Amino acid sequence: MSMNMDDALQTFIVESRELLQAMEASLLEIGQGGDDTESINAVFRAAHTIKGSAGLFSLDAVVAFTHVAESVLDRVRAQRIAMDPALARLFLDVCDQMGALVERVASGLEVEGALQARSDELARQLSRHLEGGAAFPVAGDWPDGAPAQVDPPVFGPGCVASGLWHISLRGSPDLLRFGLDPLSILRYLSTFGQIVSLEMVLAAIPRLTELDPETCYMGFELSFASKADAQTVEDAFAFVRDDCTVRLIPPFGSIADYRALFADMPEDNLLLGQMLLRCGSLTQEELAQALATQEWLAEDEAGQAPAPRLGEVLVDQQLVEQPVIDAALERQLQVRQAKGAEATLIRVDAAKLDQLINLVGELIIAGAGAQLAARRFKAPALVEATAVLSRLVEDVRDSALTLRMVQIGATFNRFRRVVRDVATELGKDIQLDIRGGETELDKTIVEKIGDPLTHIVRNALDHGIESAADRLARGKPAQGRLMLNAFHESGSIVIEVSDDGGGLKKERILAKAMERGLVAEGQSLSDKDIFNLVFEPGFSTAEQVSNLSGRGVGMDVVKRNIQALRGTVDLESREGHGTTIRIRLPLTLAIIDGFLIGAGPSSYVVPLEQVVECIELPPAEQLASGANYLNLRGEVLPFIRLRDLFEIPGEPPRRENVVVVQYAGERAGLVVDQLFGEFQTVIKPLGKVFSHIRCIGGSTILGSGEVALILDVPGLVRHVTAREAGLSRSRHGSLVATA
Amino acid sequence: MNESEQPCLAVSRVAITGEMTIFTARDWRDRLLSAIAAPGDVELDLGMVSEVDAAGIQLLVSLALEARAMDRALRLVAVAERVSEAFEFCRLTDFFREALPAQA
Amino acid sequence: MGKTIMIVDDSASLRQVVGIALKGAGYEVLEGCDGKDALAKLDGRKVHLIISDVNMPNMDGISFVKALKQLPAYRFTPVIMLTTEAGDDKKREGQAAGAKAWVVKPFQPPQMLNAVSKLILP
Repeated sequence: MSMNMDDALQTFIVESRELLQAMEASLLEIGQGGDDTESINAVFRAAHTIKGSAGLFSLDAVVAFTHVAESVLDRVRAQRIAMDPALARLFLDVCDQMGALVERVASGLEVEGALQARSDELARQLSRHLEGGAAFPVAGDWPDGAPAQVDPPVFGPGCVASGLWHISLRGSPDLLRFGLDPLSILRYLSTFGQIVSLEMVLAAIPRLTELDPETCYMGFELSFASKADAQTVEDAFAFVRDDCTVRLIPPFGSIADYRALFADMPEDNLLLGQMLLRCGSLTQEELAQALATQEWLAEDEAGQAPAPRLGEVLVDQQLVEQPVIDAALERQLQVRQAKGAEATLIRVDAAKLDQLINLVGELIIAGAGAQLAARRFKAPALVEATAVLSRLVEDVRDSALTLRMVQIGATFNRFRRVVRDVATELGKDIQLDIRGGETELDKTIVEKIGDPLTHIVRNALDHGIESAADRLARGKPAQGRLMLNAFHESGSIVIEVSDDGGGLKKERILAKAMERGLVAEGQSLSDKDIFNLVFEPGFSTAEQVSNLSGRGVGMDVVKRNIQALRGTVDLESREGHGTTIRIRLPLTLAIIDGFLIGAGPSSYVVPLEQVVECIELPPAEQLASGANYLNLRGEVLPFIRLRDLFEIPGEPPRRENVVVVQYAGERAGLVVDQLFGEFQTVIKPLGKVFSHIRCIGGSTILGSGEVALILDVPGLVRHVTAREAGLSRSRHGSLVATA
Repeated sequence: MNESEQPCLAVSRVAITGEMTIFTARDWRDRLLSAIAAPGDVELDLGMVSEVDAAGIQLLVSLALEARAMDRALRLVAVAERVSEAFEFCRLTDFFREALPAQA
Repeated sequence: MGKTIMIVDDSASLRQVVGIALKGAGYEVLEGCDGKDALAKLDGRKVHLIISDVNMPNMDGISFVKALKQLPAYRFTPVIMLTTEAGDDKKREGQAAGAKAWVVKPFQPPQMLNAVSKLILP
């Protein structure tokens, strides 16, 4: 115990002696005629104060004993039992015993043996005055705040994939007046976890002329990573329960929880849905499920219960993918200022911009319909007219999309502060280089990439770049370097985070992966495969987990957030020289140039930028029997038949075609029945109906009103090349089994 | 567009000193209201803010919304560490980006 | 420039221990031994948080909070009530008076620091 605590303990002993004297005097007054209320209160207060203070010194024996006395006194005060002479005599014994306990503490000895036995005996006698002889608490029984381990996640149907808590909070109007500051509560969460992302709900805040500055209009949506148990998370909000609407959805929570959230919160579903997406708590698909099911339920209740038609569901769900451009104004201004052309600008309401983009989407669908009809009627003038029309629509689309494009520089610049602060905190000297800040990409993507990027940057600062001493020992400059870079590459935007740190240690990653059962013993993996293991759920190699990046939120969350944007992430590393993490993202989320293909009665769309070429499938006799690869100008091209992938029944036509697609350097062939050509595609997200199908990235409505599925090329390429790699390895007999 | 809407070079400047919390929110709201009632841009000096809470943040958001609705430029000419920390915590740095001083 | 917390309790040792914990966490600490004493010591001083016992001689915790909320300088100051396991009705009374937070006695210093950090930023 420190000097100060020793002093305080002395104060406690002196104070307790005085209180016990007063207690004895009051007990002797009881039953002497007159009103006993004040005497009983004094006795209670003495016991209460001693118990309270003893707790602070962890004097468990004193607390446990005094607690029983206090409980009986509480009943006396509430006039549920009478302080008769017998009880008063018992309390004199209790008072003596308390004195004996305090003196034992004063002598610096433990309470044990006969003294403890006497406590137990008196406690038993006191308990008889409590209903049912209520058990008194065992010493040390009160909560010590030690968080229990979180239950292992149980994946089930209707559960979301996010391993984070989702927390929604809306303040009552009086929240602030009670001295409750939502920011303090949320900061408190950081003491036992990490706020992964946070969205402040501003929708209800009025403009200044209409603001009551003491009324709370704010709300917060956040995703929170913590190993603490549910009780700990709930307790964080104990003080604001009455004055806030709080919704806590545990990791891997059910879609039904989220559906209830939508029902409870005042914002419209579109706004809230976008926030949940940005928080990473729901994926597009899960959100579509939550909302779609809600719509179905509503119909059921109305007694109509018509099974929703596929097209309707998909179109209805466009609300899911509508970009929220709430701060387009600021971004525009910023871009303008950079170009120094302020005078020629006008401000546009974000909602109007949104509407324009939607209308352009509809226009493209209508244009495709007109073109289709023109071809069907074989009227050359009409075909020509619609061709001109669609070229113009294409131009309109391009300029509408540029309205949503913003430079990534602002996001990059935010990291100057992060790097400075984190470097200071870690005692490292780190220089940040920013390149490609003028690279433009879709505003929605810019907003969503901030959190994953932050995580990657922090990881690099924390685990990537070594301490100055280590760097000098390895012959590197003491100052570490972190580089953020962005550029366009074949229809994607690439964002790189590079450090010149220690790089990843292959053996350690492999060892860890085996320990975690991610890799089988003896399995041979390429360097790239090994490095990419760090994106597997629950993987963390840092031997010493620091409070910056090692809070259980792994790179798997980063990967999932990026995948939700239809992007990919991979990692390159040279031990001793540094690491580069490369994020590849689509330029825009809403509209793509597609290539329309057919298999059986269905139509599919492949993003045009990922199509390399189309060839005819060689006749069966020229292919190795049963093989799923062909010889493309001397190179092995693995392929997959869409008919097999989507289990389309019926015989394929005599002549089949192969669409060669490429993603991130890997190629694969898709065997299809028909090639229809280029097609502008407005992406609609997938509903529940398709949630079990792999390799589908979304859907679109054709001009004819039919639905076409958009193939997820990265997923397909992964699927095909992984299968092929597995086969080739087993052909060489080096691999025992693949998943 | 109205012909009489000429660009105005006037600037109302308010320096917020001390705490910007629930205790002072009403006073600062009144000061800010009179600043925005005057013609021209609004410059807000937050460099001397000693303390900020949710009420303070809400006030700033509301001011920004007002400025936007009135098509008035809002500039934060200095921002104390505590305030920028709160912006970052609330992920409001983007919301205020237009108003924040350019980063060096 | 730490924030200031006032602790009001009739136990000097409790005030002392809580004071040590709070000072250790970087707060400045004022003490009052009951409601009346606390009001006299506050006297318009800036205080960010008040921790108050319920059972106290002279002026109990509930009356103290009610008086506090009438004073412009403290009407929004958060208050932590020290309650007992059996004191649920006192807790409700305190909440009605405007003390929204509570810590149940007996408590350990870390529990108090947790409650404090839910209410004010360091």
